[in-house]
Amino acid sequence: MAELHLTDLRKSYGAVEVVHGIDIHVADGAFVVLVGPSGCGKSTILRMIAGLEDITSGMMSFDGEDVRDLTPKERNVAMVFQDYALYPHMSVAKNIGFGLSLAGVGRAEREAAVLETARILQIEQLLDRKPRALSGGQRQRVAIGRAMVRSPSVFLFDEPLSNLDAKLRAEMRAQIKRLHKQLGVTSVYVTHDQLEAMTLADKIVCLKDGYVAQAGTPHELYRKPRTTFVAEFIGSPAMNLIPADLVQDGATKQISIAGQSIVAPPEVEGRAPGPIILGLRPEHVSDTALPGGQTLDVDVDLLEPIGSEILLTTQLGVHSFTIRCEDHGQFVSGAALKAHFSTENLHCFDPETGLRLDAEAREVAA
Amino acid sequence: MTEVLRSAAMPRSTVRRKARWQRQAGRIFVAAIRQVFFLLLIVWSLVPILFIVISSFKRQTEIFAYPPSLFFEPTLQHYISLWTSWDAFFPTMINSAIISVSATALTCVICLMSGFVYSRYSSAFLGLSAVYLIAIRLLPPIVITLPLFPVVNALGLSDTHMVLVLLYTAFWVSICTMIMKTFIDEIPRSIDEAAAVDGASTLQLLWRVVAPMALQGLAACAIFVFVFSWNEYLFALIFTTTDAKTTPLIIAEVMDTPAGTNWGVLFAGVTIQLIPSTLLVVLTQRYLIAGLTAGSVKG
Repeated sequence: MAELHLTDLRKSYGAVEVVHGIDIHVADGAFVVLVGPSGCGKSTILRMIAGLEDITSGMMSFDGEDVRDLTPKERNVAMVFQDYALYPHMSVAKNIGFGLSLAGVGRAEREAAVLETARILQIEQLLDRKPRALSGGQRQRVAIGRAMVRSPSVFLFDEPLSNLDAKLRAEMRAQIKRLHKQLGVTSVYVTHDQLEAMTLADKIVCLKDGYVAQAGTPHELYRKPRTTFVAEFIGSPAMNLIPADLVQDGATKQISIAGQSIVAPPEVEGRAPGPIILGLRPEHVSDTALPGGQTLDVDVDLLEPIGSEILLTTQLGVHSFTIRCEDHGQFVSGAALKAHFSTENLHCFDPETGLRLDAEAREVAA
Repeated sequence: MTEVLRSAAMPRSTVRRKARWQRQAGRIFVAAIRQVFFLLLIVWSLVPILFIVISSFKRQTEIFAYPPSLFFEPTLQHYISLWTSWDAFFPTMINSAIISVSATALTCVICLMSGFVYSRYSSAFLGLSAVYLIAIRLLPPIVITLPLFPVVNALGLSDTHMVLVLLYTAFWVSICTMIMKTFIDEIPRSIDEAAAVDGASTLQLLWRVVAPMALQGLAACAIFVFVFSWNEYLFALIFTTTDAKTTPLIIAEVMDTPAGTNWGVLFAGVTIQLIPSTLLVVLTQRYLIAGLTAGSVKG
C-alpha cells in the first residue's frame, strides 16, 4: 500500500496543455475516484500515475519517494484497463500469472498465487480457458485478477466497467468494493459515471478541462457542490439550475424566480442583491408538504415512471424543472403542481463564476 | 412493348415462375464460369509440376513420348543416377537448408523488431525510411549485386553461407518489416501497456506477447523468405563457388551438361528440391492466407 501525492502536476502534448497543475492526495489504503466528462484529463492523470505517460512538470511521490523517473514495474502499480487488455494467446491462469512469471516467481508459488486469486474472484473453473472463450464480465474479473495477484502498492482502474451491461456493471462494482475492503490497497479509479464514483469512492476528485473542479467525500460533493459544473455532474438526474434574482426584502433576503418568491438560504446573507443561479436537486422536491418547507408552483409536462418513483419534467416559468418523487399514480400531464422543498436543500451559485456562493464568500474572505 | 403485352397476357404465376427460372439460370451460368476459371487456374499451376514429378518416375524414353503415357511402370532410376552421378547435389541441399533456415530466422527476428518500431513509434525519420524501404525493393536485384561483388570479396565473405544469409535477409527485410507492421498494428496498445505494468521489458514484450500475437505475420514472412532463399539462383551463382553452393546451381548444371540434358535426372532433382518448400507451405497455409489478407478486414 502507498500514499500518493500529486503536486502541481502538468501534462502537455506539444503546445497543448491538457492537465493544468493539479494537486491530489490519495491517503494510504483510500479509494479515490477521478470523475469527469470525456477530455477532462482523468485518464491522462491515471496513466501518469501508472508511469505510462511522462509528466511534463510537477511532482509525484509514492510514500514520499519521487517516482517520476520510475517505470511502471518499479512503481509496483497494477492497472485494470477499459478494454481488459488480456493476452489472447495465454490461458486465464497464464494471464493472471504473467506478472509473477516476469518477476521470476517460481512455478509452484505462482500457481498457488494464481489459484488463490481465482478463488477470491470465483473464476477457478475458467483457469484453462483462453480469453476469447470468456464473457465480458469474466474477462474483467481476469483483468482484476491479473492486477491483484502481484500484491501491488497501488491499484489503478481505467473505466473498467464501461464495456459491461448495466446488470453486470452493478455486480462488478459491488465486487470491486468488496475487494477493496478485503485487500485495503490504495486505489485510484477513473470513470465518467458519477454513480460509480459515488458508490465506490472514499474521496472523489471531480475534474473539468484538466483542472480539479472539486475534491472531497461523495457526501461533500453531493451536499456542497463547489461549482455549477460539479452540481450538475454529481447526482442523477442532474441538479436543476435556474437563473434567479436575490432581492432584499426588509431584513430578509428573498429569491425571485419565474415571478415567484422564496426565502433565501442563510449562506447568501452576505451577498448583495442581484442575479444568482439557484440549484435544487430533483430528489429534494416533493409533491407533499414538508414541515417548515417552501413551495414553487410548476406545471407538469412529462411523466417518466421508473418503478416506485417517477421523474416529472415540469415547467417553472420558461425553465424546465425536474422532480423525482414517489409514484402512486397521482400525477397527470398538464396539471399544476405545488413543488415542496426545504430551504436547507437550496444551493446558490454566482452566475458569472459558477462558484457556490458560500464557497465564493470563503475564498473572498481568505 | 410486345414483351409487356405478352407478360400481361400470361397468368401471374407463370410470369413469376419464368422470372425465377431466369434468375436460377443466371446463377448457374455464373457458377459454371467461376468453376471453369478455377479449373483453368489449377491446370495452369499444377500441370507443369505434375509433369515434372511424374516424369521423374518414368523411363527416359517415356518422358517425352507422344501421346504421353498415363500408366507406366515407375522407376527410381533417375533418383539413383542423381545420387551416383551428381554427388554434389545432396551436400548442396544441406547448404541450401542452412542458408534458407538462417535467412528466414534472421529476417523474422529483425522484422519483428523493426515492424514493432514502425507500428509503435512515429517520426519524420521513420516515415522517410519507410518510403526508402519500399523504394529500394523496386530496384532489380542485379543492380545491387554487381557493386556488392568487390565488397563481399574484400570482407572475405565470398563462397560462405553468411554472404547469402545476409543478402537474402537484406533483400526481404523491407517487405517483411511492412508485413509485420501491419500485423502489429492490429494488436491494441493497451496490451503493450498491460505488459509494461506487469513488469515486462521491451524485449520481453516483443518475445512473450507481440511475437505470439503476430504469429501469422511471422509465418507469412517465414514462407516468403524460405521459399525465395531455397530457390534463389542469381546471388548464389555470383557469390558462391563450392563451399556454399546451393541446390539451384546444381540443378542448372544438370540441365546443361556437355552430353546434353538428362531430363529424368533433372526432374528427379527438381522433385526433391520441391519437397521442403511445398511441405512448409502446406503446413502453414492457413497462416499464409491470413497473412496475405492482413489489414483488409478488421479482425
